[in-house]
Amino acid sequence: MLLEVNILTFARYYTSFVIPSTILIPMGVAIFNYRYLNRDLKIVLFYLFISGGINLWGILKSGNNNLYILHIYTIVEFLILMAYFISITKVKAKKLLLVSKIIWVVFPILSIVNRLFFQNEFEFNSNVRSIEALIFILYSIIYFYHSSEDDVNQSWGNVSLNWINSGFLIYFSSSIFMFSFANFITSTNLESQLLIVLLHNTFIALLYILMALGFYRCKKSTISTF
Amino acid sequence: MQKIDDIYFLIFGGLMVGMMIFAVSFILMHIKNQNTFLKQRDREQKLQLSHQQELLHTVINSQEAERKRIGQDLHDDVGTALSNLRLTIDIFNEHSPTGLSQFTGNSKIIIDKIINDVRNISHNLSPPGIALYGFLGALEELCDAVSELRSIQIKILNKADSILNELNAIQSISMYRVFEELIHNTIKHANATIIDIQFMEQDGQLLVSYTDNGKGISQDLKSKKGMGLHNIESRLEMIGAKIIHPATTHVGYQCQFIINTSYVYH
Repeated sequence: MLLEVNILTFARYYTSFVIPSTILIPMGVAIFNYRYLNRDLKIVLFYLFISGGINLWGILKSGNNNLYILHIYTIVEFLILMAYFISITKVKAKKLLLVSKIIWVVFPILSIVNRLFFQNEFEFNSNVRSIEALIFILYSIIYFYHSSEDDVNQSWGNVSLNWINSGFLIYFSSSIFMFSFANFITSTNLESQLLIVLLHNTFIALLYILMALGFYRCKKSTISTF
Repeated sequence: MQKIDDIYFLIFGGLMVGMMIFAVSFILMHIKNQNTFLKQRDREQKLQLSHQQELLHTVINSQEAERKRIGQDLHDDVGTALSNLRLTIDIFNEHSPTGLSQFTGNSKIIIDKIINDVRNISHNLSPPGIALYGFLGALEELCDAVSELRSIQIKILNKADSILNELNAIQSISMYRVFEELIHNTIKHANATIIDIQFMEQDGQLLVSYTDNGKGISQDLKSKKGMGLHNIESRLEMIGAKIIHPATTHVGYQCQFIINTSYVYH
């Protein structure tokens, strides 16, 4: 009983304070290096601000049903991150750019349709969230695939986008199954739910740390696109 | 019930960690590939740089050797003849009845020799045949001169007349020097009796082939190129020619290269 209380307290602090505060690390590094940020990195910084803001809204609304925030968050997150991937695609891959723009428009519509007809505000939007994760996994892989083809001028670690896209790839790959089965996971026992949420939060922290490394390297980085 | 629910954590937690491991492995492989590529490119650049330095070194060395040879020719031929002339003038006795005609005759012979020596030296420096008869004419002249002096037969097969006429002055003189060097190498090292020179057209470019029936060049020597081979390489590089490694094996020495006549010099 005591152990359960401790785990609950820890999980509450970990998910409501510790992990959300790690967003301040990449934000701080990005603001410190702001004059070196190119358009791609500014989009990522914008994403952090919006993501942090919506998360804060979610934390403040915790205790009541705040799943409708997740429905909104998914659309906003997708729009910003897709803008980021379109931005790093630049002019090299014209077909990919066209497909990306179509997806950019179609996905929010799909999310609204999903909310209206399939998963309401009392359910996790697992359908679109897992599609979103899949899209970003693919885009991260495409980035790495094309960056190996390009004429590489500097070591891997000096390219900001390598760190940031690694963060996205690791985060979305590890979370895709949690997103897909979110509604099922909530029906399991509390301990399992807590452990899965803790694990997911750890991946979020890893994403923020990798983003911070990307922002830290932006002074040395040259533009690398696919 | 507790155990059944634990299984859910194990399944989902396992899937999450497994996917993370996949993603991390993918990224690590990408890093490794990129680093390997960078290292390989660095190595290639270093090799290229050292090759360029070697060629530059050869150019400087051959310039020095050429100067030394010209100096030696001037000293040994012209210098000696002039000394003879001076001696002839010194010993000239105007009171001797046959002295004047003998002196005039000797002096003329020596002066003719000097004229001949100076002509040879200057022809060596800049073959006049190229300007007069073009590259092919000058090459034929060179081959005739070599064949007369040495017991070697040189055959020229020309199937690219139009392209040969397009060669500019730099390409002509460089090609001439390359053939001079190749023929010199054959005479000096190959112990050959026949040299075959062929000019052919390939996709609008000039394909040149040089072969002899001598003892060839050993694999060991191929890697340790002498100044002559470096000279050939640097001259060909200068005119944008590419050395081709022939697919067929040949008993004697063989050298093939392809020239783009519209090459732009840097």
